[in-house]
Amino acid sequence: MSGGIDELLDGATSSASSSSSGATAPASTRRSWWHRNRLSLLALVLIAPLTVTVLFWGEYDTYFGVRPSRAVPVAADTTAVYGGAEWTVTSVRRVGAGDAGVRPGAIPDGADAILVAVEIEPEAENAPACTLRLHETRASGGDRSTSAELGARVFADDPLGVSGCSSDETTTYTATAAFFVPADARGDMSLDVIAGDELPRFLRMRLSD
Amino acid sequence: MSRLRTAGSVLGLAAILGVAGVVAHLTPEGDDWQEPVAVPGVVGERAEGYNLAATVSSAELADALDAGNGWTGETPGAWVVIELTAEAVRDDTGALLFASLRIGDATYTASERSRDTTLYRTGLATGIPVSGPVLFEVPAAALEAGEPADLRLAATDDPRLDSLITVPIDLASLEHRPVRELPPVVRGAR
Repeated sequence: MSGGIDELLDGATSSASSSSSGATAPASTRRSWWHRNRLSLLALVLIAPLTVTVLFWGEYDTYFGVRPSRAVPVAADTTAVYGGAEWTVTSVRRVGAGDAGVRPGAIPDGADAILVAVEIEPEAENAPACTLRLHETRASGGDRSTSAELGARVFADDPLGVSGCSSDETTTYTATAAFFVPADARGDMSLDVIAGDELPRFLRMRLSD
Repeated sequence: MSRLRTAGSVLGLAAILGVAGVVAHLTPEGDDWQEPVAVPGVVGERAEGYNLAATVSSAELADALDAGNGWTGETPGAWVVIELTAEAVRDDTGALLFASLRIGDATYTASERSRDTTLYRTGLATGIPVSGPVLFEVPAAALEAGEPADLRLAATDDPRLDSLITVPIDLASLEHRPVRELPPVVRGAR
């Protein structure tokens, strides 16, 4: 039994040498089990991770391929081409619940509203449908993402409120969005523009300070 | 030399079997693969999971509820009224979709009978708290048994592989009111 283990681990007997010469080779010329099987072992080292990669890549691609997982960074005050339109952030404004002109109760206590206007110039007949989100990059505590407040009317003299994206537009128009953030949110703010046809790519447009 | 090799081989084999045994012992079995990640909390302190942070501010028992909007909740058992504050941590794609009270071996899902006057299933904002009550309708016998109770909260309706905030509730020490008025659900700091 112990001899079998020795043969397996140490290659005490060289089948190649014994079969060709008909006699046991000298100890100095015996090749170990590892040496005799080096090609198979090398193939195993390559095939094992390749198998795992192939198995999981499909799941990975399916999951992240339909989500906004690949950000295309856009510097502040820059026009970007994406999803069949040109996108330019034209204004950014941050207001608190107590600021002049703000409708009472429009902004939750302890929060600010960040109002963003983005000019959209369609390249095709119709502007693309899109979703706008606010992304906050923080030095600690992890990034945060906030969806636009649909139908928010922050200012008392603003009868229409925010408008968001519209695929009905055929010419250049301006979409507006309001995002509520904690009043102490001080991270770097970006506007995420997500067009369904472009997933997983989306624009991450840095908002100027 | 041969004995030395044999001893080395046996030791190597024993080491491999030992490592395999440890791995087999530590490997989750059955549904344990997808168990929620428990986030322990206590009443009065903020507990933060992956995408949900919650602070339980109070807990009371009641025979009936008054939502202040015309709805009154009668029950042959009792109400456990737990007031808390919750917020999303990373993004606001979730809501307080999982709220249950575990008493002993029994689990009670939060009641939706009061409709808008419960935090259960209310959408969560990122970093902006929303406050209100979560209600559990339980049989009187469940309270009389004196078993330990845990409030369990998650931002997804199926908390498997998600964080699950777990707050012990001492039911025996709670004040018991004939009628409990429910506070409104309020968004923003209180």
